[in-house]
Amino acid sequence: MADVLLKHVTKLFEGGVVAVADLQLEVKDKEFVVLLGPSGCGKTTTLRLIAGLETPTEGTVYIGGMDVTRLEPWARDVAMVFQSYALYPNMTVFQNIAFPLKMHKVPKEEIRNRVEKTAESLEIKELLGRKPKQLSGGQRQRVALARAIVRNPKVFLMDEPLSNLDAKLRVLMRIELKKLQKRLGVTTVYVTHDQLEAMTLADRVAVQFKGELQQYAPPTEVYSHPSNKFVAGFIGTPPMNFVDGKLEITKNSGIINAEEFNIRVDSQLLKTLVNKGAELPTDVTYGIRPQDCRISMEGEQEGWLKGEVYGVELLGAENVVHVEVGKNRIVIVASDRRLYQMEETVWVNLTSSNAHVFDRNSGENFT
Amino acid sequence: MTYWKKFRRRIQRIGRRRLLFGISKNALAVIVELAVIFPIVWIFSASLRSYGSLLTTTLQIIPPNPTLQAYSWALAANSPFWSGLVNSLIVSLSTTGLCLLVACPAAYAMSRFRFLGKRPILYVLIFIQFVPGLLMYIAFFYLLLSFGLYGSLFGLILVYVSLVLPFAMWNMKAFFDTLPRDIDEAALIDGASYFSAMYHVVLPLTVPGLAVTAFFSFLTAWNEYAIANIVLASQSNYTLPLTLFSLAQSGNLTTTWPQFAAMSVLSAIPLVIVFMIIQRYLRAGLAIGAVKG
Repeated sequence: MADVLLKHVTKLFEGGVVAVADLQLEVKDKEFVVLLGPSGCGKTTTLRLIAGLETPTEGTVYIGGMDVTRLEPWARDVAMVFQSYALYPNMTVFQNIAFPLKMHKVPKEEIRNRVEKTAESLEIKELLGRKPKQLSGGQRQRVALARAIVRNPKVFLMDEPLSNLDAKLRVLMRIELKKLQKRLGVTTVYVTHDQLEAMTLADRVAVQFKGELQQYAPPTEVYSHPSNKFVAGFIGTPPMNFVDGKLEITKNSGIINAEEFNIRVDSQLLKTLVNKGAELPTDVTYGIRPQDCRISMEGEQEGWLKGEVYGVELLGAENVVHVEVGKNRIVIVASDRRLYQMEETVWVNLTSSNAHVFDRNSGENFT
Repeated sequence: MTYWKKFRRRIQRIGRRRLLFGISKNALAVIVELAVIFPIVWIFSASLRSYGSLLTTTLQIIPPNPTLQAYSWALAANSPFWSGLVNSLIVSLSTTGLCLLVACPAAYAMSRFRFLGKRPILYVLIFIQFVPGLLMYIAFFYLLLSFGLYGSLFGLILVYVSLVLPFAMWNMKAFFDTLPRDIDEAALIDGASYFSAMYHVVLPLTVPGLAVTAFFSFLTAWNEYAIANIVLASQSNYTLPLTLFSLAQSGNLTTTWPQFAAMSVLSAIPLVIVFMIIQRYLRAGLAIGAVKG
């Protein structure tokens, strides 16, 4: 078991493409870290740098305190589960799981015992004689996992292993994966673009964008205190609402002047902003999660903004209402289960202590 | 419904134009097949004739009084067929084996790695195949002479390998390119070296490619005459094409043709056996090679 450390790691590809830019990342022993971000953000490249499938242009990679930067993949004692599972088509399930042990010259009897034990723990013992093409997606995924865990590696690396499964199976496997990792106590680095997966699996989430690390924190912190506008917009479903405006603070109050309307800044939020001490920008983006917005049918009230329903998503337990307020479209999660109608006039309140204020130019979060 | 009525209804359904196209397409195929098969049938027919019976002005596919006299001669213990067969087998199998041994790792490297000079090497591999063999004969002759390999089967094998290698490397590279890199990478992470990954995981998935490469290497070495004629001096080293040619040249033309024909038929048997063994791989191998190569 081991920790993983990436020190000032940069990876450039042909044509000057910056896949990873000056990455500083530490994964503690036994920790489950998720690398999260949109396509092309550098998360898979980061994983491959840890695996040894890519060599950093600059920087150092450590596993278990040892510099492995120039070490070949087979010498790093890591195990990887690929998005496509990468099972060996010409081998049976038994042979697939046994392959890493065979490559490490483990005696045949021991190979047999370990493979059967691992297969039993993942409930695939009856599949040992089959070939990968005879397996379902979920079964292949478990075989890939079995191949990874049979070696007792220092680090698990997983590259979107659930993305090829149907939604229901994905939910089941998420829970199974988390339980497995806790049981085995293996340091795990997991790549995904699905922020729900990240939030449910991770001890810590590393959000990446365009090769740069945006925030590295536990899921609750990434959700409640995003470091910048990108993280705020990427984490959370539905995504955070953003309204551009000018921050105007007087002695005891503050507003976001969005030209067509004003949003009153919550007093607690205002206190946080003022106590920051840093010079607050004038041009800001106000961010509020759909769950923190309020919607009402009641007439004009102070602090409430008039809007028109643009669309409604009926989710059963709650409804997601899209409301046009001036030129802005605000998404609100309404827990009252009322069936809002298209083009209906409603009133929305965007004031909340959970809201955020971002610098419109840099995206930095001032709350 | 009578057969004729069923037939007419079928024709109506197919349509006249499609029917004419189908008939002419099949007729053309039959003509081409006949043209290809005719020399083989003629040779086989000649092999069943008695000595001197080819002196005839009539076209007789089925010989009068067919006899296995020529085959008895060809398969006799002292017949030159056996030494020719052994030499051809040595040369063809060695060429095939050596070619695969060199081409597979080279093609794997070209498929999987980035290195300096990769593109120029690939271009050289294409263009070198355009060079007519005739231009290389003199070079081969002097090279073999310089290395003391002139007249030896080993020298001939090396020449054949150099001729077949460009095709073999391109073909195998095309097959390796069709395989996802995930599999190699999984093998590397599982503890395999690059060579182990190629051997244990990648190569078993390219059996059609290996079959095509092996067959064309074998075929080239088996049928090749001109270079063997330059390289091999001693009759004891003659491969089957040279043995056949020397048989055709020697003695009385009227007596040797059935023997020549019988030895030709016998020479084709190993090729047919090899083809029958690997033909199911050839179909897949040729299709993929055609798309990617």
